[in-house]
Amino acid sequence: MNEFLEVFVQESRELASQASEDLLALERHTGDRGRLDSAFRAFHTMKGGAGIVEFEPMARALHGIEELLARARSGDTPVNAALIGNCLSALDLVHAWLNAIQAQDALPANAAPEADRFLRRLQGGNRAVAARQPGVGNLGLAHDLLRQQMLILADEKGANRAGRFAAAIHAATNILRALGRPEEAEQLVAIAASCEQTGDIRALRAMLANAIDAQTTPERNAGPAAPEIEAVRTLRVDIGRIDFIVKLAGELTVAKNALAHAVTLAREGATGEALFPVLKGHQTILARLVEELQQSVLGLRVLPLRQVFQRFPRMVRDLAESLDKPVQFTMAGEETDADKAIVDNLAEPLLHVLRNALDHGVEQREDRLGAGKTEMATITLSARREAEHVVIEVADDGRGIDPAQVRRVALQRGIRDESELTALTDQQTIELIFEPGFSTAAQVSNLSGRGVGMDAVRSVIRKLGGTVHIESEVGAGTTVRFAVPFSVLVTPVMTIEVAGQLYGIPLERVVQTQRLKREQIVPLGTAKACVIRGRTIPILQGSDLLSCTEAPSDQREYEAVVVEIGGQWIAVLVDRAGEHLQVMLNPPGGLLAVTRGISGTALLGDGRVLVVLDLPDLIDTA
Amino acid sequence: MSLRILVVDDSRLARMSVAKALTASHPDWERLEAANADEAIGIVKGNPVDIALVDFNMPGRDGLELAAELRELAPRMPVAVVSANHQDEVLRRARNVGATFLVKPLTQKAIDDFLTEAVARLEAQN
Repeated sequence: MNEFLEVFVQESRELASQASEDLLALERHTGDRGRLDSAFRAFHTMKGGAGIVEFEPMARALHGIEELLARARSGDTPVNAALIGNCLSALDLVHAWLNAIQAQDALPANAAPEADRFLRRLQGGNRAVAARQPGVGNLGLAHDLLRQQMLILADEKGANRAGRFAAAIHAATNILRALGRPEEAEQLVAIAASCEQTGDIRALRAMLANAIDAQTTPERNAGPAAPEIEAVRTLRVDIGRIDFIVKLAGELTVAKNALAHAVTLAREGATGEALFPVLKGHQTILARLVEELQQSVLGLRVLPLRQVFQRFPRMVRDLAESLDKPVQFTMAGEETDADKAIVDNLAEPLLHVLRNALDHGVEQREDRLGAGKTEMATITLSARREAEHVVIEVADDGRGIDPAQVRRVALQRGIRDESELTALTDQQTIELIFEPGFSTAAQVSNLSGRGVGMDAVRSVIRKLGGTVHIESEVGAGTTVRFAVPFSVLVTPVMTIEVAGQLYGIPLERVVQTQRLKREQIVPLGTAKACVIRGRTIPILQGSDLLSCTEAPSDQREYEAVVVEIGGQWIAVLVDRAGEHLQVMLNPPGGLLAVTRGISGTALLGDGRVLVVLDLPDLIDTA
Repeated sequence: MSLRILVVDDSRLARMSVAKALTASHPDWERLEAANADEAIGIVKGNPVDIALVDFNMPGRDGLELAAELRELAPRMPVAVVSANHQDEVLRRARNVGATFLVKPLTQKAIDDFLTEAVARLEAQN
């Protein structure tokens, strides 16, 4: 992409995000002059940028918004929902255009009519708000077309009235079908037939007007499509951090040259005794430099969670509006830092949990009032740092999760049988919502084009090395808590050898390693168990877990790694428990990406690739 | 004559665009960039510049306030205030602080004309 266009896209995204933040703040406090000025500036600068890259339609559309904001600034018009809605739709348009530019490396070709339509809507009052309904891409366009058909029908005097009548009805029917509203299309045909006989088209016009004004309520089960969340593709880094790395690179070069000197000494026949202090000194320096470099590089990837949080107020607002559930959405701890990989991957699971809270957690107005609650529900998204973890919570004050209901669903979908269910506590029952297969197809939304239930949420968080917990009280609300590691880059692992192959397991899972004598292993039903630290714990064969064909040999003594999974200890028999390593974990790629039970790979010092296992997933699958 | 020119705009894209035009007509000039008024004042105090090109719409102090400050620091420095909005108010205030008003997006010709005139003014002062 040409450099100007690249900077234009990047800068516009930043400005759009700034404007969006300002507008949402403005919505809460319409008198906030600073936010109004800031939003104005952001739109103005975006417009200027569009002018520089000669993207005339965007400049024109934004000029329209800028004028609205200028009038609000001078006090001529009020700051109200219509103004904010219009500004937000402009941002939608801008996002779509920026995505198009990024996708095709050029200005979008069809932008001019889009800008025209947008400006017409601005002049036509608050239609833009309707056009922004989530889930219905070109609703604005469809409504414009329907309105045109109404105008055609209204003209009763013109020539060829019957022909125009038929054509308009035909067009309107097709538009409704295209919008996925076939019932209304049928209704229209029926009404049109009776109108044709009576010659009175009032009923027809009323029907069309309703169709246009209908807030296409998203289908309850499918849920409205989520606003698109585009990945942050650039990283803004404090120049001081870069300077420090540049300095380290310089020092590393010096260290490398010093090492060359040691090599020369060795070639010239220096004894090991003479070389040792020299090499030792170099190693100390290199160890320090590498560690500093690693820390600094890690620091580069640290981002505030704001990067992912900032899109949610908008999304919650839109969704709450479309579900007609008034919601007070608050966020706390957006400034909490986390690794970029974590920040980038949190959007989807958080989105899902927030949507659940709105869709399933928060009751309809009447139900809330009936339950003696405030009409306005509260949803809180918060983040905080706890030691090496970042804890993120989504809390709602909705109806809570009813364990009895979960039991029914779990039974019905064969997640657990009746006897298993009776053995579960309420808390354990609630956690069944994380089980694969619990979310029905009807509840599965097509977030990013694939099904997402709470089990997918859990699997994403696990892939990040984190955990998910849920607390819920019937009638009082639900809290979903993610705990993810602050950094994903360096993971301490322990190597294990199974069937002659080396694997890694995250050290945080390991309780201890233990030698087990044959007689310590006792049968427990069809399985085996042993007693360690006074606890009876199940034993799993490493080779079974990894589906190795090699039959476990009958030995006098076994090596076991005791791991903790969801509070339970499990002893995994391995050929050998190896060393502890700090590895840079890469997400699984290629074939491994679709293989369950793998959390990533790491390159070992000798060039071999270490597959790091995702034990909870592996044991679930086994 | 090789000059030092200061470009002040909070938009990197806008600075790039001015830079491109400057490189085309005056490749030998030294170009300095600032993203806001404070940075601009810092640069000018550290090392005087000959000409300044200032965006009107910036967070913090706007371009007119900055132009006034620059003129105070260096009364003979030609300053242009650039704005996408051709408002009489901005125009009048620019004239009051002795700055030239230029319309955004800047064209090569608009920049060249301003610079030619600025150079003439500087030469007349010497």
